[in-house]
Amino acid sequence: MTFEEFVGARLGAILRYATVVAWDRHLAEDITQDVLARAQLRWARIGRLDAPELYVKRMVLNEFLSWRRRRSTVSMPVDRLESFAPVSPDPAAAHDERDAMVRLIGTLPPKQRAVIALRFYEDLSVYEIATLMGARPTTVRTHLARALESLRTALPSTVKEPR
Amino acid sequence: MSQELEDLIRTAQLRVADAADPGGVREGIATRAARLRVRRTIGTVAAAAAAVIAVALAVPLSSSTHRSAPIQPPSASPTTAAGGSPLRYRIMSLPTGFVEKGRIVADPKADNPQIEVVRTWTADPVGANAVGMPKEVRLFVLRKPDATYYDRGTPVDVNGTTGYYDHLAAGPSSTVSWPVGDQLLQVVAEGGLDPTQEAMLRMARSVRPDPATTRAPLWVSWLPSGYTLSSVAVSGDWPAEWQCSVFATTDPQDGPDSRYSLNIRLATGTPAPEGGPLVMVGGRPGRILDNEANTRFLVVNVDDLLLTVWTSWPAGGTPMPDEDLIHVATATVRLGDPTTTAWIGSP
Repeated sequence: MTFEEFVGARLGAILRYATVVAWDRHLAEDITQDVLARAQLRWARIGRLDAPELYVKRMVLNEFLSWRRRRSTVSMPVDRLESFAPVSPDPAAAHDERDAMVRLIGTLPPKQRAVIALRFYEDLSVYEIATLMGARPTTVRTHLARALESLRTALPSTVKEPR
Repeated sequence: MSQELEDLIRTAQLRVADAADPGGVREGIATRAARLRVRRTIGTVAAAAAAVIAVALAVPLSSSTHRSAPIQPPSASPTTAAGGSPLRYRIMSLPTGFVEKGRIVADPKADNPQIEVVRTWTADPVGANAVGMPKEVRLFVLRKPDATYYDRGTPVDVNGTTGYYDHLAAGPSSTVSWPVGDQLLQVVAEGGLDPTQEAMLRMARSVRPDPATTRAPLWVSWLPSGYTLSSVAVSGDWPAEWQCSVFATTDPQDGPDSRYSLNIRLATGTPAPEGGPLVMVGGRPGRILDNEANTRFLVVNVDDLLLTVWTSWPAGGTPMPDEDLIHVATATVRLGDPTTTAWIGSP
């Protein structure tokens, strides 16, 4: 598969993944462009891998967590999250738990946000996440537990009540 | 509640994912790739020159009891090294007011593309920026080039040799590339200049052999075991105002992302974040700290400058011990030889 074929087939999926990891559409676009530009320069090697998409996704994750991105990911202005407003907002749902969750995930530390992206969006196991992040499974579990606890604690009380 | 919470997370993630729009991303990839080809020369660049210095100057080492060996010259022969690293070529016809403000000398085995020398001219102050000014002209000397990188664009004649002129309409630069023996020369003008094809060809056709050599103002006499010098970069606005970066890496065992890297930089600023406990390094105050992205910094005050030694390790790897970082810092010598930076600010 050539690089152009790969981008044609998988750009959408990679960008969606990057957006969920970064939780910022503009940052995700920036990271995706950077990573794919780097991948293009190395495509002779990456293209021969069994799973080039997995490799590229790992590059996206590393780029997001890299120190060069720390400044833009440590504290995300809430107004950046407005870019995730639905195209046709549902007035009845404007303040529901889904909006709250979108905002709350954006407040998580980058590693916690990345872990929940890999766990729930990519449906990876703790061990797979640990391999991808180069961390120990216990570290991943800690990030995951803290993320879930933060979200559970911060959710509006109406959401916490059993329905 | 747990399942409900997870469902809410998944719903939010899908909603956020749906906001992604690949339309604008696709166009930007080629442009960034072209820019990266230039930038990677800086990021990965640096050091036959440092190796040269190690050979040329018999500064005694204090590391004989350490488990690691003094650095070895990666490529330059001792004969060549004794006189400095060759610059190979220079541009004779530059835009008015342009002077040389940056040099990078690299071990061409250390990276791809195979960069040997990069020289930068600009009329703008570079300050703390090594290179990357919006209006600058660079001359790359590359070895064993990958032709797929450089034979794109319009075929042009460069003093009787077929080269290629490439202008990225939405991109950052214009280039003229042409082979000379087993090397490839490339003139790159950043987008801020917006030169015409004729102007680019005029610069390319003015390139001549340069018998001069260059030496770095720093000498690094010790590196941890497994590291080899990759490149040395020197830049500045005046001979007395310079910054120097030395870059070393380990051989990647499992692909390029498994590589450990080591940067040594003497400059007015530091890339390290604030904070870190006080450490004494050769009698000078310093601080040492990690960030959350597998990078460890050591910053030492050296007179009016800051020496920063930082190392990055791959995911799952182990950080360099503090004692090794400190040893690298104490093994880094500011030469105080004004001839090493006398070229800064000259045409």
